Amino acid sequence: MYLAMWKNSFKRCLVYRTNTIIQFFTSFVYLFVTVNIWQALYRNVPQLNGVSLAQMLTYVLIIQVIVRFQDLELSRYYGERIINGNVSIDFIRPVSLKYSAFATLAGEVSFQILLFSIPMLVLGAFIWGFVLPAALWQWPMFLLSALLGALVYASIEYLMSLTVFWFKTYFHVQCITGALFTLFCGSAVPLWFYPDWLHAIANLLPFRFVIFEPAGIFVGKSTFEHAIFTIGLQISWLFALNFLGHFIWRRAQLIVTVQGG
Amino acid sequence: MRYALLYWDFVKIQFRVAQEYRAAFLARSFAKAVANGASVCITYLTIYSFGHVLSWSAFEVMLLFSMNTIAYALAGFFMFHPFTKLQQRVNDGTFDEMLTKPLNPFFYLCSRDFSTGYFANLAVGIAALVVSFIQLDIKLSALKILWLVVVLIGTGMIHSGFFMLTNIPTFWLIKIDAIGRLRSTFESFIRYPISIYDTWIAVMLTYIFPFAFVNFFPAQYFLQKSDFMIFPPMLTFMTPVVGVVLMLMGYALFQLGIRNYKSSGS
Amino acid sequence: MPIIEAKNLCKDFQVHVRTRGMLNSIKAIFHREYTIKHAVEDVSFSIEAGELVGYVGPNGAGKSTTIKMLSGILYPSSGEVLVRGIVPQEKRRENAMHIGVVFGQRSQLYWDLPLSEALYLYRKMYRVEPGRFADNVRRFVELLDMQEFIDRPIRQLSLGQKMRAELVVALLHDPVILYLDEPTIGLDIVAKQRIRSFIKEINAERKTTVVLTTHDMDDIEQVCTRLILINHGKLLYDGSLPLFHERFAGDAVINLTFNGEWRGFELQGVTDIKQTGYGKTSIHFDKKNILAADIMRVVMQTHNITDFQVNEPGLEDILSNIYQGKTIK
Repeated sequence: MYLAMWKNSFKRCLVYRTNTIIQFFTSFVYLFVTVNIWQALYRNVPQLNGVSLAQMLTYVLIIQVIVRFQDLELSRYYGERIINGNVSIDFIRPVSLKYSAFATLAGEVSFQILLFSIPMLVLGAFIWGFVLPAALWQWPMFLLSALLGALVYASIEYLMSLTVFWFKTYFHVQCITGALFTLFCGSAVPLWFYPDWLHAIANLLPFRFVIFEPAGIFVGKSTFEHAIFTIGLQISWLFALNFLGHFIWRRAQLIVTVQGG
Repeated sequence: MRYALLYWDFVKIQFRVAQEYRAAFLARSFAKAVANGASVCITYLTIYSFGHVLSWSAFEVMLLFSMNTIAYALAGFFMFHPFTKLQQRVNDGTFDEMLTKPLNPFFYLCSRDFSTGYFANLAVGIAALVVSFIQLDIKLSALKILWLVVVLIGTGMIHSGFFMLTNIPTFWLIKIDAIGRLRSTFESFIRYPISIYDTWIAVMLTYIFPFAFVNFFPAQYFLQKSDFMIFPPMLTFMTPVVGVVLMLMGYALFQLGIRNYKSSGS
Repeated sequence: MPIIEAKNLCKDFQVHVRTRGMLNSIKAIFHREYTIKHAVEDVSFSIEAGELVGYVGPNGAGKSTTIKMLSGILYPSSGEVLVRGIVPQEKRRENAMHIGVVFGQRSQLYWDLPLSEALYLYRKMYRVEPGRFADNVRRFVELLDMQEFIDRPIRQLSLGQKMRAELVVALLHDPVILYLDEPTIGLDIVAKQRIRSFIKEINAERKTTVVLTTHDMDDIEQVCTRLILINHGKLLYDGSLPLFHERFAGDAVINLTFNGEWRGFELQGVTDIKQTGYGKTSIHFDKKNILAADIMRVVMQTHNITDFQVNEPGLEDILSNIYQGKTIK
C-alpha cells in the first residue's frame, strides 16, 4: 500500500513539466551562488580549520542531495492534516500518520533526488570538482547516517507540528523550526566554521544529525569511530524524539476529547 | 492629495483587520522575526571564520543583507499582496472590482491589498543595519542619514517594480508562478557582494535585472568602498533612479494589462 | 435620451487551442493556435432611466460579457456603448461614480470586518456628503432589516445577509444605474423575496435604473418590466414580459389522473402526450390552436378521469425550449 502511494506521488511530479524545469533552474542557481561564495571566501586561503576548498565544495554538492528532505515541509503536511481533522482517524493508530506521510512524501523526495540532485551533483562535479570518499566504509556509513538523518528530521517536524493542537496553526512552528534548522543543521554553513560557544550549543541539539554529520562522514572529516558514535547518537535521538512525540500525542488526545474535537 | 488621504484610510482598515486577529498577528510577527534573525546570523557566520570575503568584512556583508531585507519589507507592505494576488483576481474575476470604483485601478488595487505583515522583516532589517553601522564604526551626518532614507525608499521601489513586472503578465499568461520564482531566484544572487561572481553575472545583475542596485552599489557610498569592477562608480547614486524607472515600467504594463483584461466567471 | 445605449456591440475572445503531445507543446511555446469565440454578436438596445430590465440567457450566452461592457470592465471588440452619454471605458472613474455593481458570486467586502466599520471608506471613495450618506445607511438598514448583523464580521454572515450588505454598499452613493449579476443565486426563498422587493422599492423610490442578469425566472417575473434575451451572443428578444409570453407561447399542460387503461386519443393542436406514472398522463398542447376544455371533452368521453389540473406555460419551459434551439414562433 505504501508502495502504491510512493508510485503515485512520483507520477504526479512527472506531470508538471514547466514547474520541473523552473525548479531545476532555481536549485541550480542557489547551488551556483553557494559555490561562488565559498570560492570567494577561499581566495588565497588554502584551508581553514582543517577544511580545504575542495572538501568544502564536495560538502556543498553532497548536501544538496540530502537537503531535499527538508523541501517536504513536513510540519506543514502534518499541520494541515491535524487542522483538517483528518487525524481523528489516526487517533486509533497514531503510527500510521507518520508512516503514510513518509510513504507519500518519499515518492516526491525520490523524484527530486533522481531528477534534480543527482544530475546537479554530476553537473556540479563536472564544473567545480568533487572529492569522492577515500575509505570504503564511508559509503555505507554515509548512506545509513543520511537515512537516519532523514528520520530525525521527520521526527522533529512531527513533534513540532503537534503544537498545532494548541496554536491552531503550523505557521509559527514552521518558522521557528526552520530557524533552528538554518542555524544548527549545517546546510548553509558547516559547523566547522562556527565560534566555539555556538558549536557547543549545536552539539547538544539533534539538528546537526540531519545534514552536517552525514555530510561530514562523506567528506572525510569524520573518523570511523566518530561515525559509529554519530550513528549511535542518531538512533538515540530517534528514540527520544519519538517517545516525546508519543507522549505529547497522548496529551493532545486528551485535550481533543475533553473539548469535543 | 485626496488620494494620499484615501490611501491612509485603506491602510487603517488593514490595521483594523490585523487588530481583529491581534494574537495571531503578533505570533506571526514573532515567528517571522526569528526566521529572519536566523538568516542574518547565518549570513554573518558564513564570513565569520574567514574574516572577510574579497574586500568585504563580515559586517559589511551583513549590511548588504540588511539593506535587501529592508527593501523587501518596504516593497512587501505596499506591493507584494496587490500583485501576487493579482493572478487570482484576474483568474476568478474579482479584478472587476478594480474597474468599477471611482478610483484609479492601480491605486485601488494597491490600497485594497496593503499588507500589514512585514514588520518583522523591517525590524530585523533595521536592527541588522544599525548593528552593522555600529560595528563598522561608521558615523553618519544628518545629510547622509537623509540620503540613506532616500536610498532605502529607492530599494523598496526596485523590489516593488520587480513584483509588478513579474506578476502583471498574468493578464496574458494565466499561470505565472514560475516567473515569480525566477524573480526570487535572481534575488538570491545579491545576498553577497556581486564581485564574487564572474563579470557576466555582475553585468546581468546591473544592466538587465538591476538587483545589484538594492544593496551592492548604494552600500559602497556609506562604506566608502570602491569595489566597482568594470562599472562606473557613479552607479552608487543611481538606486532611486532605477527604482523610479522600474515602477514606471510596472505602471505602464499594468495599464496595458487592463486594456487586455478578459475578465472571467460566468 | 436613453440612459444606456448599446449599438452593434461585439466582443470576441481568442480561445487557445489545446495542444496534445510533447512536440506540439514545444511548438506551442512559440506560436499558439487559436479560434475566435464570438461572445457577443451585434447586440443593440437602449434603456431609459428608471427601467427594470432583466437580462436573461443560458450560461455562456454572453450576458455577463454584455454587462461587463456596459460597466466598463471590458472593451468591446466593435460597436459602441454609451452610459449617461459617456463611453464607460474611456471615462471609467466618472462612470463608476454613478453606477453600483453587485456580483452574485463574488464579494467586494472586507471579509474580516463588520459592515459598519468599512462604511466610511465607501463614503470617502464616492465623496458622498456625510448627511446624505447617513440617511442612506439608515434607510437601507431599515428596509433590509440589517440591524442585527451590521456589526458582525462579513465572514460570519449567511449568504443572504452578505448579499444584502453588498446591495447596500452598491447603493450608498445614489447611483443612477444598478447592475446586478445573479444577485439571488444560492439564496433561500425568503432571502430572494427580500432582495426582490428591495430592488423594486429602490426603483420606485429613487428611479434607479436596474439591469439584472439572472437564471432565476421568478426574479424576472416578479421584478422586471422588460426582458432582454440573449443566446450564443445574439439578441433574441427585447421587449415587455407579457409580449414575450405571447410571442414565445409555450405549451400548456393538462395533468390527468385516471382509472383503468389509457386508450389515447387524437386531436389537432395536441403536441405531446406523456405517461407520467401509474394512472397519470400529461397532455401538452398549444393554447393558440385548441382550448383545454376541448381536450377535456374528448378525453372524458373515453376515459374515467378522476382528477385534472391545467398549467400555464412557465417562463422556465419557454426559455428551456429556446435555449435548446426549439420553437421560436
